[in-house]
Parts: sequence; C-alpha cells; structure tokens
Amino acid sequence: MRGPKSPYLIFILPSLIILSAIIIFPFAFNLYLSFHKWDIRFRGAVPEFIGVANYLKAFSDARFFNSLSKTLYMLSLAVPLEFFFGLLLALLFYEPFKGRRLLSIFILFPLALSDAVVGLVWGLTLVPTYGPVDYFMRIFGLWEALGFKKPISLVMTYPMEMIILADIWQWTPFFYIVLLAGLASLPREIIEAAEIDGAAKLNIVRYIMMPMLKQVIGVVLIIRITDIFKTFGLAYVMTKGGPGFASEVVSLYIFNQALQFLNITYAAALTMILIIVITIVINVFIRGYRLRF
Amino acid sequence: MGKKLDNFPGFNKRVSRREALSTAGKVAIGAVVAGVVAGVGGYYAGSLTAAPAATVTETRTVTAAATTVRETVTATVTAPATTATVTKTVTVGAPPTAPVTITLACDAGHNYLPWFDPKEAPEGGHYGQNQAPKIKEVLGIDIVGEEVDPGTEFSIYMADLTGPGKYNIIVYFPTYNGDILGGGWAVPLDEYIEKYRINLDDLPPVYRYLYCSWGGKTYALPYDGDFHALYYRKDIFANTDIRKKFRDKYGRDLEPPKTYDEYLQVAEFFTGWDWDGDGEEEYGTVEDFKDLTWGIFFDRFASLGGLWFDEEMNPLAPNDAAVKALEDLVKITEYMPPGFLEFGALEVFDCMTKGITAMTLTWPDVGPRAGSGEFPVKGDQVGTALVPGYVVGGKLLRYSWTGVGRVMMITVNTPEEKREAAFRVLKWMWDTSVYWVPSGLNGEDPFAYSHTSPGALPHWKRANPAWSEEGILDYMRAAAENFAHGYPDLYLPGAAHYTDILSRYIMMAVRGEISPRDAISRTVEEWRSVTKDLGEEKQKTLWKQQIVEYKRAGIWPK
Repeated sequence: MRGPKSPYLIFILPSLIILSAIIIFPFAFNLYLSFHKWDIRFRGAVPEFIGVANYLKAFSDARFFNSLSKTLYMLSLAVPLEFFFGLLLALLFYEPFKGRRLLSIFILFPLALSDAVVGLVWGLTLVPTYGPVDYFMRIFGLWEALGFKKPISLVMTYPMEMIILADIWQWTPFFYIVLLAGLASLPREIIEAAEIDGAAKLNIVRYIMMPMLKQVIGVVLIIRITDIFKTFGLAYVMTKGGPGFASEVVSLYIFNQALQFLNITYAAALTMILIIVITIVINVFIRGYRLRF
Repeated sequence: MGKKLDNFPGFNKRVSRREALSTAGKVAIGAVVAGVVAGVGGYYAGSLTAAPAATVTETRTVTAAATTVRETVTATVTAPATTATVTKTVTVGAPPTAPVTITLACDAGHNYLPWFDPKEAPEGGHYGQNQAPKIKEVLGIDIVGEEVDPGTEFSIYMADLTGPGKYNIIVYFPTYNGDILGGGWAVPLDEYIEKYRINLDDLPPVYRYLYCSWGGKTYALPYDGDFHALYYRKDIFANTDIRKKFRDKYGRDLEPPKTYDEYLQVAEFFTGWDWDGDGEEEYGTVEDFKDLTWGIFFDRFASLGGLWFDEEMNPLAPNDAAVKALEDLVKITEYMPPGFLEFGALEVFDCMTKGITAMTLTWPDVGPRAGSGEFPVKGDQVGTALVPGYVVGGKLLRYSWTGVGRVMMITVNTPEEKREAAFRVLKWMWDTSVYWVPSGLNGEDPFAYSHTSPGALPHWKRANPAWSEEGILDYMRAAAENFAHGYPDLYLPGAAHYTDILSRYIMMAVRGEISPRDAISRTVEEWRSVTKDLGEEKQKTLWKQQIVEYKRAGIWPK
C-alpha cells in the first residue's frame, strides 16, 4: 500500500526549502519591512510599525513617478526596436550563406557582456574629448554639419536615448538568436509551398512566419519587458541617473533609496509597488497579445 | 582668508624631542620605523615657507634588546636660512602574548594596497604597501582583510555593524561619519591615543576634528587625506609671450588666480586657442562634475561663508551665497572641454597631464601624477596653489573642500580584549602612512603636516622621479596650505541623500534646465523634507555635535 502522498512530498521538499529560502522568505520580509520604519543607522533601533505610511509617501513622491516614467519610456523604445532589429537579423540569417556562423558569433558577442561593461564601453565611446565618436565627428566636421558650434556630450544631452541605444546594442542579439531558433523550427514545406505558389517574401514573413512564431515572440517580449524594469547597470554606469533626474530609472531609484540613503523600509514599499506595476503590465500584455501557455 | 599657516601646529617648529611609544618589541622593524621617523622628523624640522630647496640626511642607530626595538633617527634639514636637526626615538611594543586575529574591511582597489599588495615593489610608485605581513611579523597580529566595493560600502558596513559584526577595523569614507560615529558604532580612541602618545597635532584641524572626531571625542585616525587644490601649467604661465598677451588683454600679470573672479578670467583667456603649440585647441579649466558635484560647489560656497546648515538647521545658509556660488560654477563651465559633465576624477586629472586644460581645481593626485613622469605633461610643468576664494567682509576667504578621504575606526562589535590590538594596527598604519602617500598612482593622499614637510622629501623623490626637489616642495607647500584651509564634507546621518539631491540640482542648473536660484530653493526644500524624514530633533542634536567639531577646528563663523 502506498503512503499518503509522502514520497512526492519528500521529492519536492528540497525544492520547497530552496524556494522558501531564496524567494518566499525575502518576499515576505520585504513585505514586512514595507509596513515599518527602521532606521538601522542608529544602534538599538528596532522596526516600528507605521501601517501604509511608506506606500502613501510613494504616491506623493515625484521622484518615484519620474523614475517610473523613465522606465516606461525605455520600455516603449528599446523593446520594439530590439525586436525589429532582432527579427531583421534572424530573417537575414535564416537562409544559409558562407560565413554565417562566424558572423553570428560577432552578433552574439554583446550578449556575453555584463551591463556594467556595456555601460562602460558606451560611456567611453561617446564621451567627447577622449572618445572615438567625438574624434571622428571632429575629423569629418560632423558637429558643424549637424549645427553644433562645438562638440556636445551625447550622454548628458540625450541620457535616456543613449542608455536605450546601449540596451539595443546589448539585447538585439537576444531577439536575434531566439527568433532564429524559432524560424529554424518552422516546417520548411509550408514556406516552400508558399514560395512555389509565388508568394512575395514579405508576405511569407507576414502571413506565414509571424503567425507561427507568435508564441515564441510573446515569450521573448515578456522576458524583455520584465528585464527593462530591472535596468540598473547601464544607467548606473553611464549616467548615475543624471544629469539631474533625467535618466533615473526605477530600479536605480530603489537602489539609491535602499543602499545609498539607507531608507530600507521605504525602498521595500517601492519594491512592492513595482512588483504590482510589473504584474499589471505583463497581464495587460498577455491579454492583449492573447498569449497562451 | 585671514588664517595663516604659521598659526597651525607643525609649521615653523624647530625642535628636538624624544618620544617613547611603548616598551617592548623585536628587531624586524628596521626600515619601516626609519621611514616613519624621517617623515615625522621632517614635521619637526620643517619650515615650509623657508625651505624652497631642502636637503635631508638621516642617520640611524638601532639598539636591539631581547624584547625591545629602539631606533633613533637623526634627520638634518638644510635649506637657505634654515638648518634643523631632529632626533626621534621610536620603541615598538611587544607582540601580544597570545596570537590575535583582527578582521579588516577596506574599499577595494588601490586603497586596499597599503594593507595587502601581492605585487609589492620596493621601488617606484608602490613602495611602502603590503603592511599586513609586516604587522604580523612585528606585532604578531594577523589581519584578515576583506575588500569592499566602494560604491556600496556604506550599506555593506551598516549591514555588518547592525548584524553579524564580523569586522574589527573598518576603513571608510568620513562622509559616513554621521551614520557611523553619530550612530554610535565606533570605539572612542582617546584612551589609546593618550597611552600610545599619538601626536594629533600632526593633523590639520579639518582632518583632526571633522574626519576623526564626533561630539568632542576621537573615534578614528585618518588613512587617506583629500582636498581640492588649484593646479596650473607652470611652464605656460611662465611663457613670456603668453604673459604679455594676458597683460595686454586684462591689464594685470598672469598669476595663479586667488579669487574666483580671477579664476574665471584666466580660464577665459586660455580657452579656444592652441597655447601649447600641439596643433590643437585647448581650454581654460576643468572640474569633476560627474562623481562629486557638490564638492566643487562647496569650494565656492564655503569660501562665501556658506554652511551646510546653520545652528537652526536651515539648509545651505545663507541661501544667497549658495546661489552666487552656483552661478559662478555655471559660468566657469563655458571654459571647460566638451564632455566635462561626464568627466570623473581620472578624466579631470588627464586634462591636466595630457595638456588639454591650463588649470584644474581638483584632488591632490594631479601633482604626483605629473611627478611620476608617466604622462605627457610632467613634473615641474604643473604648479600647485591654494584654491581661489572670495572677498567676504574685507577678507579673502579661501576654503578647500576635503570630502572623500578615508579614516580607520574600531567597531563597537570588537571584543574588549581585541580592541587594543586593533588600535595598534591603526597606529602602525598611521605611522607608516608616510611611505605610501607620496605616490599619485596609488591614490593615497597626504593628510598630516609630516607628510608635506621636507623630512618626507626622500619618499616623495623616490615615488616621483620626474619631479625636481623644488617642484615637490612647491607641491608640499600648496598641499599643506590647502588642507590647512580645509572645509569638511557633510557629516550627518543621511549625508548621501542630502548631497545626492544637491548634486542633481546643480547639474540641472549647469545644463540650463533651471536657474541657480531655483536649484538652490528646490534643494533647500528637499533637504528640509529629508531632515523631517530622519527626525528633526535627532538631526538637530547630531548637527549640534558636529558644530562642536567645527568650532574646535576654528571654521565655524564667530
């Protein structure tokens, strides 16, 4: 006779323990902190229950809303452009040609770099006086041609756009490789049949490939949408959220509150709000996109 | 400003005296103690104003007994009109009877090297590092070190102090003094300072009272000094044609600027033409906007008599002076190279040592970096001077912001029986600091008069082969002058939050998004809100404790 559920419980117990330790406990502790005030900088300070005060403070915190708007701006530009360029590359590399493998390695290279490295590379590339972009702009007289009296700092003048540019450079290969794998898995005979029937290339992409890739595209988009909310390294390294508050994305703001200003409990409340925002955005996307799992 | 260097301890002293620091030891100390003595000897012997060219000789006798190391060093300083001899005897105490392990946390990178440097090179820019093995050998104290990311060290230290308490010694930026000292996390050191006869007179007031003290007690010893200095291209400023051109244009001689109005004028003069003949257009000056924006603002604001808070906790008082300081900061940006807003400390240093700007107002590193000879602009091509100032109430007030730096403290989590051993480690690092501060390549900067006195000259010469003796002494004089005119960073709980807000609004004003007045009024408003969040009464009490230190340092307005 089999014991009631016991073998199953034993098998999943290690996973449950690990999940509790790394997900459930931190989440529960974060939730607990968000309802308290705890100034850990003073010896002997203990958490003091303050109800929803941290949440109310967040709703009147202009800097928090500014950081959310910067993140949504990034989301609206970076993800569609990464998808567009990734798809374009995937279609270009769909048909075999000489050197495809080698070129793929080059395309995938940025994906192997950390955010901090990418931020540093772009920061150093774009910085006037020292960087190569300014060097070539000067040599070819492009600053003057573009109407600038003297070289400008692209990162300081267009901070969010430069962060988005770096993000596109880093993450387009992700769309490329996943979409290419998706294309490779499509039944070849359907596409060949369309070609024999004389369908235009663009129509094959639009009416055959894209519908068949819909689930793959949906999953990739969800991953990148959640990633955008986690953007930290690029903004931290390239601009530190500046100049002023011009590129302070939401994760950077929460980091500042928690680890720079030591407002741990307020940061916990902001984190909870961010989780809710992400959940809403993802749900809206899933419903709008009609993604099925 | 009215403050004269002669009024500060350590200047113009010509004395001989002996100090015994403890009573037992072993022979291995040798060269380490000699270096310390040479530095301290220079402090006693040095007359900066009277020693444009000094030669230093050291004679050493070492007496070793079974339990005692005694080393007597005589340093003779000879300079025009100045000859002084100092003899100092240092006795190193016995190792602890039982082996002791002390845990250390220090920010990663170059600041960690004075403790542990696997690539220790006895000569060149890195000599004098890797002290931990020497401490173990001589004092019998084993140091277990941990490198901490400087960007997040505050949260790491606070997490340890409030949690496991595994660190005994922490090396940190004094900007966290409000949280660490004000929060009660450090052991008072006065008793040990007295017992081991640490000569705190060797420190300029801003380091002694603001870096290291809180509410009248000493809690830390400096590890790395920092101050802003004015650097200028000495060779270009001496060029006859350029001098004539300047005189023709402005009707006065070209000199390192003493006021911010002069600074603006000199910067304007050097902007937009090729004054060094390298075929490229150059610029007047550059300052570090990227990392520590509020520091360059405070050079100006403090020199206008400005305060972080007044006694009633009103922010940036008087506000009109803050507006004027910011307006001047905005004006000077016109004469900076493209992209200056993105320049951190290293890019700013490079502007000077690569011949891009004629001046810079920045950290102490520029002089020694030029002195190292590893950059296109070398050694004596760079001159160093006291930062400019403003005439306030008929007096020229010049303050150099001394933010950043590093101090060492013992945590309250350290067991009683380990505290004295931990202090002896601090003392060792304090004593040997004269070895590593002269190099601009390791980022450690002078913080004591002994570091900038002629007695320390051999160390400076060794680390800076491209610098003449005169050039080094010129730098030492200016360095001492700047830290003697030092103005502290904000040391109050929440300092990082206050300065973050200020920096962001400064940047917005510099970019023309808002006016300087608007930037200051928004900063004031948000600072009040931060104070309220942190607890108004608590902040006021802690600020009053800080004012005690300002008064002891002689920089609180009378």
